[in-house]
Amino acid sequence: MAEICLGLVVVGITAYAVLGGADFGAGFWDLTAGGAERGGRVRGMVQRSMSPVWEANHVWLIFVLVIVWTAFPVAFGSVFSTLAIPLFLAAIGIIFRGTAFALRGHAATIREARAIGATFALSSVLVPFFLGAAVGGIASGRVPVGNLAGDPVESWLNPTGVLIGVLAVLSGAYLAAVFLAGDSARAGLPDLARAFRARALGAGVVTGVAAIAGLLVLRSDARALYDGLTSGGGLAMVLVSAAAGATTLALVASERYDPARWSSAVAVAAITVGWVLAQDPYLLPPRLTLDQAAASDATLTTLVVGTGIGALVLVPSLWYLYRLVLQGRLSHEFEPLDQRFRPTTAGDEPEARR
Amino acid sequence: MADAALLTLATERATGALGAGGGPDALLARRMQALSLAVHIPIVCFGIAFPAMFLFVEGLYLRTGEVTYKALAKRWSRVALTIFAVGVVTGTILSFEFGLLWPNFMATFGEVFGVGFALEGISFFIEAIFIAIYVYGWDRLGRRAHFLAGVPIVVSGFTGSFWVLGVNAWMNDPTGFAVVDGRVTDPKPWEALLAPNLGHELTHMYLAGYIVAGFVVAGVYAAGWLRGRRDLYHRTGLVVALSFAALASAAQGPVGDWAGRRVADSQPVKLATFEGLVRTQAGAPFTIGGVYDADRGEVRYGIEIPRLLSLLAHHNPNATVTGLEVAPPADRPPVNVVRLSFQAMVGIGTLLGLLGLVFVLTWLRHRRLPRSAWFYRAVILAGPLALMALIAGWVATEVGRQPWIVYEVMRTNQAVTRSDGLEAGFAFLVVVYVALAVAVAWLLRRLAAQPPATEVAGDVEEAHA
Amino acid sequence: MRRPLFALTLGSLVLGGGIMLAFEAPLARIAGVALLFCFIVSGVFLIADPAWLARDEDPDG
Repeated sequence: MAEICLGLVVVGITAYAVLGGADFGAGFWDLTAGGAERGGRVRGMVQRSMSPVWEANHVWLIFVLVIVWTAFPVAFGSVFSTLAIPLFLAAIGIIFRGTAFALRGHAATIREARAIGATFALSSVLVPFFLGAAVGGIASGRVPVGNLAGDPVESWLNPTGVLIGVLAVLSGAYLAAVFLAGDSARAGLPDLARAFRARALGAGVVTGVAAIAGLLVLRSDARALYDGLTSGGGLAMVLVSAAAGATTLALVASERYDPARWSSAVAVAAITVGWVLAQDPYLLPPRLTLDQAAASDATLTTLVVGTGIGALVLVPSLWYLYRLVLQGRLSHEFEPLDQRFRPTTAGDEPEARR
Repeated sequence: MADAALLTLATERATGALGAGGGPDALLARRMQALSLAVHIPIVCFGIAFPAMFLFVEGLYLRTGEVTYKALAKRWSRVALTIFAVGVVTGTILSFEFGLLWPNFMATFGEVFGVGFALEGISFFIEAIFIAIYVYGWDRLGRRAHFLAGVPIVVSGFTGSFWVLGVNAWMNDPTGFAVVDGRVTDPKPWEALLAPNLGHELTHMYLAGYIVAGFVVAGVYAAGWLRGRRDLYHRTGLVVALSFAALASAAQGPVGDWAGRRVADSQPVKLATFEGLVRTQAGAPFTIGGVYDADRGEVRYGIEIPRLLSLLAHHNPNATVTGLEVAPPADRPPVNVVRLSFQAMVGIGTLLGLLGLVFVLTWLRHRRLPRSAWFYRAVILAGPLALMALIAGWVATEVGRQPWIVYEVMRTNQAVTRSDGLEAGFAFLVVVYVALAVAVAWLLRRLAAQPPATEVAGDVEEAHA
Repeated sequence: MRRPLFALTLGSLVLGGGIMLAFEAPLARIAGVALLFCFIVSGVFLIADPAWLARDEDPDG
């Protein structure tokens, strides 16, 4: 039972790393899109792709929190008390980001659009960093059991934490670029598709290099984690990720964006799964094992059954939403941002393409 | 009915799973939590009620073919989406706060009530999916598919509330676990979440959602009415919103009575606090207004109505009502805050009910809206007042549960984080919420400034399945 | 169409409210709440009737 619940957590974290990560990554490209003229088209694409699905993407985070606090409550309390700072900052970043995103389409002047856009983009980079740093804190064994039993700063601001934070930002950017290239191609905007293709290739290479170099950081800072990633299940996942990453680069280079979506998602998903396998059997290394941390069977069973029933309704709904989006049945029209000076709304009539 | 004097000895206390002591800043943590809830709960009201409202208006369009109704439904659904997006954000903060502020509460009881949040999360996920489909699917999905896509939004608004209130009901009347040597064991999640309090808490809050959303929306159109905007679009907006609000207010009366009686049975100290009643007595009075004086143990300067509290709490003017004296002073909630909030809620609720009655009677008898400008001014005020009543009600019940976080099992100050950096966190949070409020107000005004015509163009009649 | 709807609305309110105030048993609570919701739903249809919404055109409101 405990393993099943852990499996649910892993599914949630992986889904969040891929979907939420891509969402954050889109914000990264927004930040680096350039000035008002050039950047407007890129930003418009980001807006268009994200709009229908962004909330559904972020609900995975809540899903993870809730499963953890039900199935592994002591671990939850320990993590949230010791890692309060990065988690609180991530939460604040999420507020700003969500708000900025909701507001973006309604800017009526360039200045407003810039201010909102900057808030959105900056928080899109900070949130994955802080969440990644928190993960690093757990993975490097710096969160003991107890109410603020670890160091409130050093637990996340350490080489492993910073590394994983940076990797979270980079992998999100990489995923986003691949997805946005595909979206642009579908929308019949080949110039944008090529722009995102270039970004995807660049981000892919940088992320890959950072990940490999990161192993060296782990070797000195978090030896147990390094060992976990270089043997058994952890190693297998690292290799899968590397292979998927290479495949993605090849697919993107040859402009086959739809399969590239999948392979890039696998590349990132393999890393989160690898992390969990590398920590086996600990939930909070170095002491708290999964079995020790797990709630009683009654709770775990109820959780699994409840989630299972919920999934029966949820999965088809989610599939329906994504199907509508990918078929282009829901997305609103593409509008370059920063070049509009009047308020518009989702679902407007088709505009003449610039 | 258990002997009141033995109340505080009946249940064994739980020691936290992360250790016995909490942190130094329990009051500050409570304020942070209260702030976040005060921001989130009004948004939840819209999640509960707005979908039913815009779906009804879409139904008007489908029944009559009048495109004005479609324009209104479209506008309302877009506003709902924005509000929902804000709600996602504020709800995320709350989830984080449960862990950040109350790690010992979560660690100790997570396995008892946690499942409730899993189920609520699923409801809310479904709501997110279908509101996206609904709003982005206008004119893109076939008419029937689009209308049907609205139904899961209404349903999940209900089921989400169900599970969250299940947790709150549990906190006020805990069950579904055992305490052995201070440790919480043998969790029974179903028993915990389908707690006795759930029925009245859920019904009361669900109706409150309609009252708040209805009056707030009506207020917008009432303001327009006073400025001469009285065409079909604005009239429909006003009438539909007011209908929901007025009818829900009427229904809320008996439900409030139900809630009061249940609180009298399961949390007698809380009820005593609502009144400021110190001595356990038969034929207890209800004192309107006034201030509770702790030193003298009585309410001063209020208007005392004899036997009314016994009547309200037990439907018997001579019934015995438990007083605060059964609890040691350390186990009593702060009386004035709770009393004032409770009476504000009831007072405002009654006024709103009367306002609704005026509307309904005028409409049914004269087939028109009231003519007096004062009516519309009252409706404009009703929105903020409904919000105040909402917050007051939550303050009454949550502060009325203090010093307990889990009634008579765990104290709030045992549950709190040991961190002493809460001042910075609180300051940060205040700044964030102010910025958020400004941003949302700005956005809603932008949306409102667009003429309805922008919603109507682009009607697609073909049959997309 | 209006008379039955009006009767339904008023009847649900009176019966639902009455049951809620008079009884405490779970079954009574369920019935009471169901009736109160029936009151709200039928009431909204009663009040927000398209024929009535369309007619109120006098300028002084």
